[in-house]
Amino acid sequence: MVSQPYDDGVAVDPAGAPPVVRSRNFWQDVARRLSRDPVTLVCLTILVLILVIALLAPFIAPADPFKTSMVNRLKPPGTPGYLLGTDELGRDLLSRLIYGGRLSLFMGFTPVLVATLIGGGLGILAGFAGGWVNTAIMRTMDVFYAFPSVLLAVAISGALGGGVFNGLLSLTLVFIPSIARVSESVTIQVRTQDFVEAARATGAYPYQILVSHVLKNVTGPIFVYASSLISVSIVIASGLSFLGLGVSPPQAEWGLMLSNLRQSVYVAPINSILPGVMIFVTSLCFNLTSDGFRSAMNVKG
Amino acid sequence: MLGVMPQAREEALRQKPADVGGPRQPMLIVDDLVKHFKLTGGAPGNRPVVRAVDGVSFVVQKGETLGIVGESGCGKSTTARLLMQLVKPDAGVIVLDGEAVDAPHGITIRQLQRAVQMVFQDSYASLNPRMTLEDTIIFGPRAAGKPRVEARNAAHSALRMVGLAPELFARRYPHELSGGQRQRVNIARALAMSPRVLILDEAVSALDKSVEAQVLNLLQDLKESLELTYVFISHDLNVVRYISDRVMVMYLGKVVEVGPVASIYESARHPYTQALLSSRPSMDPKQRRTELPLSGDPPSPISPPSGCRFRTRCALAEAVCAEREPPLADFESGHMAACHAVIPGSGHSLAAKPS
Amino acid sequence: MLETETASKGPVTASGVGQGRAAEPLVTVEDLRVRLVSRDQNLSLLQGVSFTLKEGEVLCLLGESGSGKTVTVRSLMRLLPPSAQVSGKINIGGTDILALKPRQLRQVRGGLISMIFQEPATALDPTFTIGNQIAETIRVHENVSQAEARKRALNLLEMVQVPSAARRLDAYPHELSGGLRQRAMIALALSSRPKVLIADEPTTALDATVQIQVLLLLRELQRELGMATIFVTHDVGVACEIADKVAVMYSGRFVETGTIDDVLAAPAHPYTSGLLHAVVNSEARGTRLTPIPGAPPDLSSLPPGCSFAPRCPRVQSACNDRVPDLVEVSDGHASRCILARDLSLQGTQELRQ
Repeated sequence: MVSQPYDDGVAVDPAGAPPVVRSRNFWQDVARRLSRDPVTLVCLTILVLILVIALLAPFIAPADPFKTSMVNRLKPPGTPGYLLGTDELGRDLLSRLIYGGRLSLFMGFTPVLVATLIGGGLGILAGFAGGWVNTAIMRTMDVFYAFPSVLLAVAISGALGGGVFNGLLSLTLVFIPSIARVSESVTIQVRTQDFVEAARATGAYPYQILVSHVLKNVTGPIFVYASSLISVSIVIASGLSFLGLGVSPPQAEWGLMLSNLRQSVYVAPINSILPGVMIFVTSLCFNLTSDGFRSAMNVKG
Repeated sequence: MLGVMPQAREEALRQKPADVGGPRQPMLIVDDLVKHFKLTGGAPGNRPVVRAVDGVSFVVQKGETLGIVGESGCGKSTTARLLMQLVKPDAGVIVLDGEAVDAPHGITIRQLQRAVQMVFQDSYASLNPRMTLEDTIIFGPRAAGKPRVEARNAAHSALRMVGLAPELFARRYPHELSGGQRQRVNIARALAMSPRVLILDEAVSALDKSVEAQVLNLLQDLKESLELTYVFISHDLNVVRYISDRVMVMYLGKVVEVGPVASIYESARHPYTQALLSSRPSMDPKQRRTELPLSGDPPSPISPPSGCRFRTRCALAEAVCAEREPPLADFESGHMAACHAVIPGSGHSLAAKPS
Repeated sequence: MLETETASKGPVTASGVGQGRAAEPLVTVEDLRVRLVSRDQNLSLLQGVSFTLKEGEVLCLLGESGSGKTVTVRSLMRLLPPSAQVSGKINIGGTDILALKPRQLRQVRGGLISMIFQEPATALDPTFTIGNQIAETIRVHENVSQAEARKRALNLLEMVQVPSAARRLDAYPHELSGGLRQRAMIALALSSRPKVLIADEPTTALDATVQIQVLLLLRELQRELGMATIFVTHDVGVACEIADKVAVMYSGRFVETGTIDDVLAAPAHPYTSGLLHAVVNSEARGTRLTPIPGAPPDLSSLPPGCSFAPRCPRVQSACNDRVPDLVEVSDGHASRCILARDLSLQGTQELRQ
């Protein structure tokens, strides 16, 4: 079916059937590249494991995380019946870590998700529209961006009073400006590309260009940036609970557990650092995974 | 010679937009187009201004190819973008087939953009890496309001017209194609809008020579079968000579010479055009160039010289060249040039005295 | 062993160097092969390139994208990416280039061999003035004072015909126009009096009027200084202007070699004649162009025989069996095609008519 003078040397089956066109789209390519990256695969596995364990907490946890026992306070790991020992109120550490994972992951993930939707939207709008819209949005973001994130989270949380919902709110507000910034700069980069100009040259309306052309190209980088924030969010959420501003007792949450066990660090050192270890491992895995995504996406245009 | 496939040609003609003005009406009239870009830096009020296009006027007849040549800073690419209104002109009028653009009783910019399409130089960057070729081509017609099925048919017939079988190529991504194939996709994208005018901005410059010839043949075929009008911008004088009917030479934001291709290439009147023509490397190793046609570099369009902008590099420059800007004067059969030395009565020592 | 130059290094004069050509070739390349091996790919970029070059000769490597011309010249300076595997022999002025240690390599680069690139903006450091860069290069290779080096830099700028050279010594690259930057880069390349000059598409990015200036300049300099020059280009016109010998490259091999006159007058390889016919020239108007059908081959999956066979108008079954050898068609004119002799006869017949 190809007209002769423009033969491209594309191998065509002489019988006339065109060859199967196997073309991978961008995300399929990323997945393929990731599958060859051992570090990212390991981290992803660990994260999935943590997530699954947290989700199945009611079925997996060996004991009731709220059941206290003054007799069995600060038992070391390995004590029969308490695999990882007990905390300062005699509650089973393993169960509390498992249940704690739920809240910690939730408080790590949700603010980033909401902030990506809001901040990403604002940033893309600012980047695409330019002009006074851009100035209005980005300068407002700058005001919030000027505050160090932890300080800002503490300040907002403190002002609103503690509690999970306020903690989520303050974290979301902290992340919106930085995601907006990244989204804006990525959108501007994409907007100046030739293919966007070519789309404009067809007389399309701006929102058509935005939806069909620009969005596809900005989701990748925004996703990578947002995923790198999850670990930060977990750490700050734990920090808020540590300071008494997030989760309140007797809820199980790693940061809160760390705070409560702080006083017992000389008496039962291993018990005291276990929640910290969980925060560290989860955070690290999110970071490395996000790095892995970034390299997988960088290679191709 | 096969050329464009017969069924593709039929489909194409069915979609052809109506001719409004009639055969004598020029397809494009451009009058006194101006675009200055302000640069950042410097004191406000005294910011440097790049006078990219500074009063450019020309006419393109229906069915002809106007070639635009010039070196960096001459404004040819900016002119292309002004024609498509991708960049808004500071001044000047554009008339498409008798109807003024962006004027009270004329057509809108959007209507212009659907009748005039552009093919860009960088074939890779002008295709969205995350979209299949089919989606890229469908976007234009869909954005213009065509129903999905019709748009898809237009896309497939456009691919066929440029010699890329839709069964093989529609669902591919740009990075899987060679440079020549990508450029054909760019042409197909333009064709899917059923345009009347195609602006080719250095469309073949980045291609290998063997592929360039393929694409040039394709362009000639398409122009005939679809009755298109071309504006062909290039720095390659040989290619422009091959494909153009008329040629316009630009220097530093102005038109310095325009005329039929044979007239320009065989009897150029403007010293810059002559220098440009002599700068082409010779194709005969026994007849190498020994003299420099022109010294120095093209100056920056930020502060162009007074009077004739070419005078700083011109061997024939005299006092009158610095005082007055030469107008674009008529010579025989539509050949126009802006140079004091050839305009009678200009005051230049080489010019004929008015009788 | 690297021979360090101890001969007197006086100021560069226009009296000419190397009027009589040395009998021994200055550059000898034997069976140069380059593979690019990484996790994602295994490409063969060069598949056995051999040539010699005498002092004062200009060899032009002519080819399109993917032909291997840039890889060839970069191998001469060992400027390839780390994933490149190089084999073969490269001998320049008695030095085995592939056996050099990094420190010796640094002396050779800029000293024995110099290179000018397509984009002067990338070769010139934007944070240094032109004068300082040239002076620094001189002092890397020779033991002279800063003042002496600066004087030589001024000499060089004048030699490359930079107007107001004294003022330009203190200019930064971004303050100069494209043509001047290119000249500055040429001055930089010539600063340590290399014996071999490599030019990788130095005029491709320049405007037509500037391109011809730089070409004429290079021709003059090459004549005066007697350097052996390897000029990479895709433009037949540029090759005509500058080359003595030409080597046409296609998918990593030489497909035709000879003097520029011979090759242009009587091309002995279908690719060469296809290329020459495909180039748009002044007489073509009104006719249909004759392109070479198809596209350059994918380097990761080359055909078993002649790599041009899929696109060749005169292909025969024997072409797909094995890669043809370079055979001599006439004195100094060789072609890698089994039909070479017939083609070249045809060419000379057309010429006589």
